[in-house]
Amino acid sequence: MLELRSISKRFGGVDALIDVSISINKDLVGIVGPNGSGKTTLFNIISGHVRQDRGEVFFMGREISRLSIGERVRIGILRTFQMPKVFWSLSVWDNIAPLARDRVYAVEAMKRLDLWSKRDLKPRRLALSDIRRLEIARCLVLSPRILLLDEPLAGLSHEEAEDLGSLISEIHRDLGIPVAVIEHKLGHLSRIARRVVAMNAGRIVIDAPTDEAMARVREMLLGL
Amino acid sequence: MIEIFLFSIITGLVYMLMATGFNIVLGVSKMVNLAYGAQIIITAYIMSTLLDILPMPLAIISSIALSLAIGGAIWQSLWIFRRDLILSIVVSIAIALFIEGVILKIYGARLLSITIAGGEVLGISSQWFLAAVASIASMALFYIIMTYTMLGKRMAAVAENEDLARYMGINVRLTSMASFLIATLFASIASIAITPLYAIYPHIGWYYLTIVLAVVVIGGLGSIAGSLASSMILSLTQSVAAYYIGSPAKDLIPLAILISVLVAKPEGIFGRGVRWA
Amino acid sequence: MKSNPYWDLYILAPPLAVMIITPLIIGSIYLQSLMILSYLFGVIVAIYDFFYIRSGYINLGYTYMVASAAFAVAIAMRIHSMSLSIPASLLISLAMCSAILIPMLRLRGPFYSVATLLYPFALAPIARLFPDVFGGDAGIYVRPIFSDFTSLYYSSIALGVLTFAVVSIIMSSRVGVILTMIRDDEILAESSGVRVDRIKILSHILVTIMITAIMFFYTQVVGAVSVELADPIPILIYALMATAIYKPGSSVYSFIAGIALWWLDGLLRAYLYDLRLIIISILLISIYILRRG
Repeated sequence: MLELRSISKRFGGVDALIDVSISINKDLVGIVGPNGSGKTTLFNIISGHVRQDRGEVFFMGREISRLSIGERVRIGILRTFQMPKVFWSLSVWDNIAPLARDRVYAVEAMKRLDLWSKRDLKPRRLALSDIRRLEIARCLVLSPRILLLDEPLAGLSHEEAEDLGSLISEIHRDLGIPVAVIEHKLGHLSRIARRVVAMNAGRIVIDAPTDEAMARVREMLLGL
Repeated sequence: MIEIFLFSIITGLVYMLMATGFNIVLGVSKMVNLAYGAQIIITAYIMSTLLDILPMPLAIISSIALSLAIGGAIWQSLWIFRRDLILSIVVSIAIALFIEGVILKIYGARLLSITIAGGEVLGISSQWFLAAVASIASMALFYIIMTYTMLGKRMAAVAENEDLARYMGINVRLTSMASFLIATLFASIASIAITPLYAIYPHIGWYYLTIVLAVVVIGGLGSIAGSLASSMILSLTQSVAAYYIGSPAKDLIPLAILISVLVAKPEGIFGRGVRWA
Repeated sequence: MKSNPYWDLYILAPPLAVMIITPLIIGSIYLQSLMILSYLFGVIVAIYDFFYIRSGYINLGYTYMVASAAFAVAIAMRIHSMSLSIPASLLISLAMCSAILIPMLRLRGPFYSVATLLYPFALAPIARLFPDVFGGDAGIYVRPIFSDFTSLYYSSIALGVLTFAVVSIIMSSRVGVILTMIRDDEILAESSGVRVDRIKILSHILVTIMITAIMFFYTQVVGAVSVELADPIPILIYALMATAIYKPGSSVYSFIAGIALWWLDGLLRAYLYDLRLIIISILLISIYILRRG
């Protein structure tokens, strides 16, 4: 489905990614690691917001490095961002519906993410958890073939994170598409992800099923 | 024919001088100074008045000094508003307009030309020779400043990353002012160099501004090598166009080349990366 | 985006009423002409405010578009058949204005503004290179087609109203929401699958068509077109002033401010010609500084 081969990226004097290779098929993959380990850069390269220095990105068998951000969206690569990105001057409805091919999808997505009752509100009036849901709903109406979520649970309370985490898990099951989630909330993440990839200083250091990976991550953290 | 070629080169050198001034301010202070065109002509006007009362060398020095004072005032106005894009563009346009208005009021709309030197040097008119020397000397001065002085290093640091530079103890405000004054100096020298060659009038400041803007956008953001290349390409193409098509074609060249470059390679000839996205 | 655009449209009623009543009170064709010209200028400024200033793209080459449209009309009117002139003027105008679309697709922020500033200064050389077509420095006359001034007068008013109506309809549609998305966050819009380039091109075409229609009436009133129209000084300056006066983005207020500034320019030219530029520059700075605080 999604395959990165030997991706490297350097910013100024810093190596953000060093020879990173990874394959994602139908899993819900958790991506963990300290700040600056390259997680968001990885997403940026997949979504096209940043161009890699070396290496290739394959999606559904096709090398996509030449595709623009918009073109990648149209082949189904959807993502959210670390800092919430929504259209602040538009209501929830206007944030989502105009992007959908059919209003029906927009209504479905909003109901799914429990935003339907808030559809006339502007993002300024929403709680953070609802803004995160808005971002996910926006991805859903664009017919995703892969979902990249960058710290969707950041800033949420324990219950909110729990709820949103289960929702993400359900969406993964129902849509049958690969989902990659960058998260720092390891507890919540390990409950929804089947596989965990840990990064450090631009490299992938662990890529294993959740239980095994989490054990090794704990070792790593204690070691740091 | 050789003469035309030579004149193109020299004109290109003066363009380069102008563009470097603009690039310095853009790079260090991230300010778009649309009053730069006005700065390019005002020194010549001041000098034309001073020549009546002072001997040539003093007139040159005084007019440059006065231009620097004006430049300082312009910098101060732009510095206050630099965080706001629309406002800084508007303020610099307003300053340009104000200067043009004052020049128009005092000197009228007639053409102005000044004579600095007579006779010939190395087979070409002294004015051309001096223009070439002034441009090359200024670029050399710029190189020395950037490479060997603390100021140059500070300017480079601020251009690279203003917050980091401030954090490291560099006085960003003073560095910005210093770089603006250097840019003003270059504009003044260019003014004195070019007016004996091509007569000026109050509205021509905008024409020189478009030349500078074209050179900068075509050459690539902050790229000195790019500015040199694009100044020369611009000047030479202008001469060719004027020779084969006609004089008005000269004025179309900046835009024509700009459009071609934007279509083919938007980052500019030597540019790298995104345009203020 | 306004919470209720229609409230703002009510503001149009008083100036519109004044325009409609004027011929009944003032007999002078000359004064009526001035009224219409100021009105048309107001619409030009409103378009500038709406499509450029509000979208964050400070187009400093707007006068290039306005002048190109005027020339397109004047040139097309040499064909003595209206059914051919109208499409011809649109085609020529679109062709000439397409050049200024390029910076919009390739540049952003100050670089966009800086690049667009080059365009207005290209029209004078073009006019000199092709004097048969563009009339050189003198310009060209425009063939009058209205049998009486009154029909020209009221047709112009109708066009202005139509322009506001079209823009309002577009903005309350799905396209309008997408335009707001692009204005809010262009990269996010791109990341949400919006075909930003396509929208920019469509907006540009719409603006060009509207400006061409307006300049059609403008040239009918004035009777001639010359390259002076392209000079950003002072037309662009007034446009910038007018779009700052209320809040950026209240295009209706820019319309009214545009009319007022057009009359102000007339007064300056008549009584304070020498000091015109100085006064305008001081006004420009003051208005912007006051507004931005």
